[in-house]
Amino acid sequence: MISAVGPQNTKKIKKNDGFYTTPELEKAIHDSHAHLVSGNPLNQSRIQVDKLFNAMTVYPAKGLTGSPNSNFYEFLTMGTVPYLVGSAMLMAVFNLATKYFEPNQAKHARELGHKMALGVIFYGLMKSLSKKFIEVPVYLKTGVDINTPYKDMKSQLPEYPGDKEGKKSVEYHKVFESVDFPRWDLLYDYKKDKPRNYYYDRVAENMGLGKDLPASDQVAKPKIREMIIRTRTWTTLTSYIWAGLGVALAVQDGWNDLLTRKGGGIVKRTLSMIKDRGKGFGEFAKDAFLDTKEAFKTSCKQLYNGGVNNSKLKALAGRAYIYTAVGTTLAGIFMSAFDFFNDKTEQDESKIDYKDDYTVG
Amino acid sequence: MNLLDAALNKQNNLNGTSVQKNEQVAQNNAIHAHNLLKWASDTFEPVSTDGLIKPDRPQRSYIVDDPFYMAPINFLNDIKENIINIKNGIQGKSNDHDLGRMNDFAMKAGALGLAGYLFTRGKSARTKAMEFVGFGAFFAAMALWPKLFIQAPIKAMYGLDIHQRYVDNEGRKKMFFQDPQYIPWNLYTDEELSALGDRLGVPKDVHNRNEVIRKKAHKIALQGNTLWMLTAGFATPLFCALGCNGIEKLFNPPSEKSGFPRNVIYAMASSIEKRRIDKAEDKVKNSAAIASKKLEKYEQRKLNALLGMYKNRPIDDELIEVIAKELSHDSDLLQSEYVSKQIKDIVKNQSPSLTKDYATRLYSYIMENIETFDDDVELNVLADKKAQIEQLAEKSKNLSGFTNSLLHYVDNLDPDNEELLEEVRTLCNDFKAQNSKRILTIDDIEQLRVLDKKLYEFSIKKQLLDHYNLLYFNNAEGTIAANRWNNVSKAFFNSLGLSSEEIAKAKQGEDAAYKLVVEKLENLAKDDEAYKNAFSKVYTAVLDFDKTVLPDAPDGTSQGIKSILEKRYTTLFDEYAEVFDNLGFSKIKERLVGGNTRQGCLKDNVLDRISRRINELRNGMYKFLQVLDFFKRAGDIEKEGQSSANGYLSYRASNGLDLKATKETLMSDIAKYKALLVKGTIADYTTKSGLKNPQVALYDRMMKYIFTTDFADSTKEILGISDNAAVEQAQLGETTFVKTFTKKIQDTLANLGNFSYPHAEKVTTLGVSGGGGDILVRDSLAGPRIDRVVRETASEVFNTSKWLKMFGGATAALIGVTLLAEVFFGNLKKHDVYSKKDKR
Repeated sequence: MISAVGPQNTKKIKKNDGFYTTPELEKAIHDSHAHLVSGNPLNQSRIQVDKLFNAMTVYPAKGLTGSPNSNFYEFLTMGTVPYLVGSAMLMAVFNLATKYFEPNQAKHARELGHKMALGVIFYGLMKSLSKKFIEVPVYLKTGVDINTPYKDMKSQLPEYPGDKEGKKSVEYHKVFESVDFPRWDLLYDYKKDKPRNYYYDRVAENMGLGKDLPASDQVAKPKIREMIIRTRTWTTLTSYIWAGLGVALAVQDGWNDLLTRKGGGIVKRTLSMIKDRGKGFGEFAKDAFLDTKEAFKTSCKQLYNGGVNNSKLKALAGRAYIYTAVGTTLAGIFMSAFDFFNDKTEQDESKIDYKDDYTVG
Repeated sequence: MNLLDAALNKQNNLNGTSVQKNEQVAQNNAIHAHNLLKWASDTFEPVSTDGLIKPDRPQRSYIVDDPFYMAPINFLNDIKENIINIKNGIQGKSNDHDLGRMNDFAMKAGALGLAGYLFTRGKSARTKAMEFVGFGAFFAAMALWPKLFIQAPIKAMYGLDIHQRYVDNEGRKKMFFQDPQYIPWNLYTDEELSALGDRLGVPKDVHNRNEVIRKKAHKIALQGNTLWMLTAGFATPLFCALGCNGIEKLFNPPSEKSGFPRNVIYAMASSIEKRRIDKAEDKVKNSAAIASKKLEKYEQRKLNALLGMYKNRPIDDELIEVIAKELSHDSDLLQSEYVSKQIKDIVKNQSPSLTKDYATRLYSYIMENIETFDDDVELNVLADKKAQIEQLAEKSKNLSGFTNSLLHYVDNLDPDNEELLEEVRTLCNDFKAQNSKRILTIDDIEQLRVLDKKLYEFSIKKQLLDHYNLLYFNNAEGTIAANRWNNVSKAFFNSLGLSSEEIAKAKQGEDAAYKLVVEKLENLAKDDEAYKNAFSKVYTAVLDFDKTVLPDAPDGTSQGIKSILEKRYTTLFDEYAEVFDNLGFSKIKERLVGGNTRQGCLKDNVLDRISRRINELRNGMYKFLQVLDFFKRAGDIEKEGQSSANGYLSYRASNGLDLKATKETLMSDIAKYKALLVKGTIADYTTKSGLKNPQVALYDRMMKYIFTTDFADSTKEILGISDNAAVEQAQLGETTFVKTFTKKIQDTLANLGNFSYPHAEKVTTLGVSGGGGDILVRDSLAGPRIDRVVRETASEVFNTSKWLKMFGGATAALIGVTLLAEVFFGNLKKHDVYSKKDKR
């Protein structure tokens, strides 16, 4: 009888004599070990929310009490907290003191402060979004989703003598989060009705390593690993360039009208609408969307043309920034998806001449 | 019986042989055995187990120490490793550790790029520099927060360095306690571990002490790292912002007390400022070379396109305007209306010239438009006379002669037909008028091109000179004028010595500011030393401006920026006036330097603007000095009044007052004067502060007392004005400024003749001559409103201090919470320290 299936599966399993499995039993076994979960955007968002929630509540509690179950995964997950808190703090630093200033000075200070806050938001947005610029084309070309998630059930040590044994905690990892030890095992039996090596077959075919190979996993694994390293390098490098570009876009004067126009900028209008309990939300949303679109278009043009006065130096800087971002992304897509550094060693060549006769002596 | 047994001396006495014979056999067997063993040990080598057991890899990992003086070397090493990292990453050969390090590097590189972009958007040298200061401050804050408030306090409290690093077998530097479940304790020897345990306070008599030490260290490190993750988000922006705030103060001019680094940074900022000006000046000196280089590249593309488009268009006002707009490159320079005048001059309407072509066309025109004849062509006497008319044209000298001879000819053809004659005459005149509107000839176009090139050249040179001018005097952040004005107004504000409550009051409005200003200045006036201190500070700042603008030295060795600019502009304008004149563009020359017309010329405008701006600045700065001095004088009067029975005598005497005027009257007068100075504007001088007719005398006294009385004694000390002419001569350069302005104000502001006054005949003038009646000069002499300046400065100071209080407080709270949390780290439960004894 299977025991210790953990908190995830508390459904009662029908007892049997242990010789035959039932679908429920199969599922319970499957769910009690590390298993792949769907990598679609909705699921990824759910995973992010789960991680964030834990990072703010459970993991700090475990860490501050010195629990033996606090591991490196929890430490890394908590690493997202400084990003969010820091962004909020940065926005506060620029905006909280404004209300104590004289009206005329407050207006100018608010203008600047709102732009800084917008810059912070754009930085975060572009940093996460720009990784997709490379990862999606790579996925389309090779069939490898670099962010393939899997769910792991980690057994927890007892925290004190007499603590209930067999507790499990859920951890969401990525198959390729480590390039030295990727979870290749999870990629076998990728689809129920397909052969065991289906995943590797498909990837090998997409990468041009061969079709109908007898051991596609052996051929594909090192190539996948190299491709993951290349993709990770390029996404890291380009994400910060795009993040900076987002900030550069946020400081353009095209946002002035949206943020601080007479009668209330977007922030003031949003807050007053919320205070009115959402009265006139449709109208507000439409106005807000159109205004934002207008401001965005104007700011993009200003970034490209050098601000309101079409200054040459600013235009040069803006264009250099844009071209760098786009250029490195394009380079990244091609350098990641295609293997230009394929070094064949002598070992790859076969030394056996199949046509010749060999005797064993 | 085998040999071994024999060798071991075992006896097996089965046959009952004699003991002696058995002994002999045993002895022989022993010898045999001994020989056998000897042979074996000689033949076979002793076996070494070195090659048989796999040896332990030598431990190449070790704990590292990172002293701060290794920081530069570590920094350079890091850069080298990062470059290698990226190369490996692009090729697909990295490992997890390298990919993690690449993230840190990419973050710094990305931030540097962003700082570089924002640098181009900076409006002044200071804001530009602050972009990179911000970049540095952010990463410094990120690195320093854990070092100063997590690692250091924990090390002090518990003796454990939770961010200790070690190098692993592959040579990678990692943090010792980073992964709580994989801590490489094997790097600690037993002695080191025991010493750590002593520092941690683990009792010595605990069973399995090493395990307890490891548990405790693990717990403290885990708690410390968790606290780091929770507080880093709050701490980094706060520290970064406070750091930037502090560093920005270093860019302000240093006071006498400040030493390094303020002096150094201010010197650097001043030298950057000076370099900017020198560069602009070099460009002005090389303007000829720059202009000729630009002229080579100048293709007149737009002008050519215009001329090509309108080449067959008859010249009219609209066309001239369009061309003029294109030619006036810098619209501020010449304004297209003046260029239009010049173009009109070039393309003066002329009568069409008498050519055979003209005659032919005239003939066709007449034949097309004549109405006298019916469709009856035979009656048309001019029908075949084309050749004759052309002959007439060739014979005639000019157009009017030709017209006359043509009319004569027509008359001869058909003598009685008056109607025909009139019609031909009308048609001739029409045709002449039509053809007077000529189109642009090649000569015209050539002249326009030359004009364009010359105007372009002139505009380049003038722009370079304007840029140089603006660096000094433009009303923008970062110019010399702005910086020096800020220094003076700040010096004045600081001399008032407002506390933070008073600053909060002052920023609320001009009334509150006025009251505070008057109160503080009166306090200053009471104390000689404090007054002298304050006055000399403001005066130093004012002189700084004056020296930067460099008044001309009397012996002509050095020249003030004013005369330098005036000379340069005059040279430029005169040179080009001559050039334009020689080329025949007299209207442009008139616009530049003026001519017979009474209209103002551009040169005068430009020069006027320069001197006006300088006066504006100087007047404003002087006003601060004047206000300080006046309050001191008033304070001296009050002191004098308190000390002697005949108080206020000097005041009464110098103002021609009735000696019986009471103290109250006198002091209320003086209060009015103070109000005029601190919050009066030019309107108050015009309307005499609203004083009605009977109080004219009061206004007289006001002007006399404020502007013509001598400076206070303390002021004279600082200004170096004394009764000793020799001393004064030595200080000539410095006192000239003040003296000039005193005189100017007397002549202008205090001169009642300069203002329209309802009862002028009842006014006694002050008996000073001179004018200065220009309204703008008067405006600038009145100076800024002191209460307004104080209110604005107080606002700025208040804003900064409010922000600092808010976020400085937040930082202090954060540090407090962090340190408090660290006090409770490392408490091991009993079951961690003491294990249950097995009952066996």
